[in-house]
Amino acid sequence: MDACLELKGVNKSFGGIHAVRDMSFSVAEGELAGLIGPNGAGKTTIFNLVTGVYDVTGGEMEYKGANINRLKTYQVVALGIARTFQNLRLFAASSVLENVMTAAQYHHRYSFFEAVSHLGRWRGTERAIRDESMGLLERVGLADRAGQPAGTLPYGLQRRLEIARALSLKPSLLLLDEPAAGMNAEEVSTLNDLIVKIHEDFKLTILLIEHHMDMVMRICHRVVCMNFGALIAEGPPRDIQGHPEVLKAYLGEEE
Amino acid sequence: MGDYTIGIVTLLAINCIAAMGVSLFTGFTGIFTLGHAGYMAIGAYTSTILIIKLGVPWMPAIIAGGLAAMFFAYLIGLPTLKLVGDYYTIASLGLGEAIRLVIENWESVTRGARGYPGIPHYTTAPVAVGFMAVLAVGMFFLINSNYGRAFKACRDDYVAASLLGFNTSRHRVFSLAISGFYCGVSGSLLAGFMSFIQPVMFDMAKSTELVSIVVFGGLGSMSGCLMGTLILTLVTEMFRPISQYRMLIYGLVLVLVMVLRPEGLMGANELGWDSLKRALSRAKALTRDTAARFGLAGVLIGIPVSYCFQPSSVRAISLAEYLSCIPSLMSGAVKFGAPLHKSVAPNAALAVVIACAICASFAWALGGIIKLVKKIDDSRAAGRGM
Repeated sequence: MDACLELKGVNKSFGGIHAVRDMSFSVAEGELAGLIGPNGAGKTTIFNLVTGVYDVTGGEMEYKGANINRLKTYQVVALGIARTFQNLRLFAASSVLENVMTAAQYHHRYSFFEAVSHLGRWRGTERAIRDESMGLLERVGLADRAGQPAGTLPYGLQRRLEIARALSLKPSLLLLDEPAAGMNAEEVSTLNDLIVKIHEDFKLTILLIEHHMDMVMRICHRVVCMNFGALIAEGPPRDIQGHPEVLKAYLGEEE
Repeated sequence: MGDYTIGIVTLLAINCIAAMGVSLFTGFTGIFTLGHAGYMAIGAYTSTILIIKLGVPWMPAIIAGGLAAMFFAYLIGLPTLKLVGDYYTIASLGLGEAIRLVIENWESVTRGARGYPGIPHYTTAPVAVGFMAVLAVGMFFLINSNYGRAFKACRDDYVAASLLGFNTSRHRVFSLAISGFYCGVSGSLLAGFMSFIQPVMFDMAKSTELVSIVVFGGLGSMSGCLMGTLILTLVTEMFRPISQYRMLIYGLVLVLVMVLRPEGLMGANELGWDSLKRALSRAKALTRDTAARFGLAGVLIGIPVSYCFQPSSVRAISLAEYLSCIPSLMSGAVKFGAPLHKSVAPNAALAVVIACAICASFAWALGGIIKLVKKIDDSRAAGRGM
């Protein structure tokens, strides 16, 4: 299988703090990979580097063979990379539907003059954006909440909305940053099903940051574990589960 | 309609156009500006020079004024809006004044501080209202399109917006350019309305007036900004008889709205069935409030009270005539430019409004005290019951 995303010796430092050091791993096309590690290990920093929120200090990042080191965030989106955020970044005052439409319009353009006159392609395009967004909201089970302000949704549903919004960009690589944070066991299991289903239906490659170990172990094909900004283990979930380095990172040294 | 009313309507339309421009940039794109009067000045001087020196007809001159301001806004926006933050706001502080000073000192072209007289009076009420209607429709359509959603996304969360594929700095510059166009057109119309322009008309006070209108109406509400223009322009006109002191009332109205409704008149909502229904239900809830009931009674008491203690300059014969003074102010009984402090109507209207306001606030406070006493009583009774 070809590598969809490949990191080669990536470094990132903020002043004197090395958030990511010499990180190398790859995510294969069509894979559902997990990225785990204790708090502050640098997982979200990896996402921020890949999506161009931060610039890398050293190393190479490749997406489908092309270097993405210097790309800006909106250029990364054009390549087909979408992500969600650990601490939700929804447009809280806008309606649920509008949140998705804001992203869905990426693939539906019309000119400025059609926008100020509401003539030409405006009507048809707006309808297409709306229909597509409603379709995605139905997928994640939010269709009946479409008119509600996004900020008033319960936490778990806001996370689903973020997934719907990211999906509307029609990505081929989806980066999910702790989609199950703050959810109870029941919500986590329905989220599991949702992620597995969208992975199949949209033919996505997914890289998932998660702290719910049972979730990672159940749905991920392969797990990458990092600590203090560096890779400590990589492999199928079963190997990672018993890996001495991983246990050490999570539970501390055995006496 | 009298000349005075027509004058007010024209001025209102001109102000609305500029306010819409500022509302797009500050309300929908989320960047404060304190220099938009500068773009109005560019529009006004461009169209004036085109008309007087080059003999261009007024219609294309107005458009050219808008485009010149738009181009200038684009140039300013490129370096200052690249970064996220208050850079543009700080720059705009100096920018508005800089434009004014350049115009003031570039005498060979702009005639400097003496101003530019003899501009043909092309801005009649239909022209101004027509321009406003077309530009308002365009603006409402724009914010209800993918551009509007993009601007709002950049305002609410620029990181999320850029990860949804928006080039946020380009959108900010684009928003500023459109907003510059609106202000430029507004300035050109103002030149044709006044027949005389001078740099002082576009100073810092004008810029802050535009921003305060937008904040007053509600950031992120285009209909709120139109209502804000209407109310603030009318308040200043209604109290014209007390000349300089009317700015006190202007300030009072602004402070009152900011205290009672910090999100502005409309918040981020547009005028429509939903917001009307919400306002109605809130008004219904208010009628059940003791303090509000007293306040309403105070307004009604204020009318006879002001009649009994009317100022000596008002010689109204009956209460009915007295009350009819308020509409007569608007309907042209008072001529635009006439020595207003001598005329009956504005003084009577002023007396009614002030008396009503004083009575209402006293009654409101009284109602509030009664409510408080009742509450204390109730809690005591509840304490005994237990």
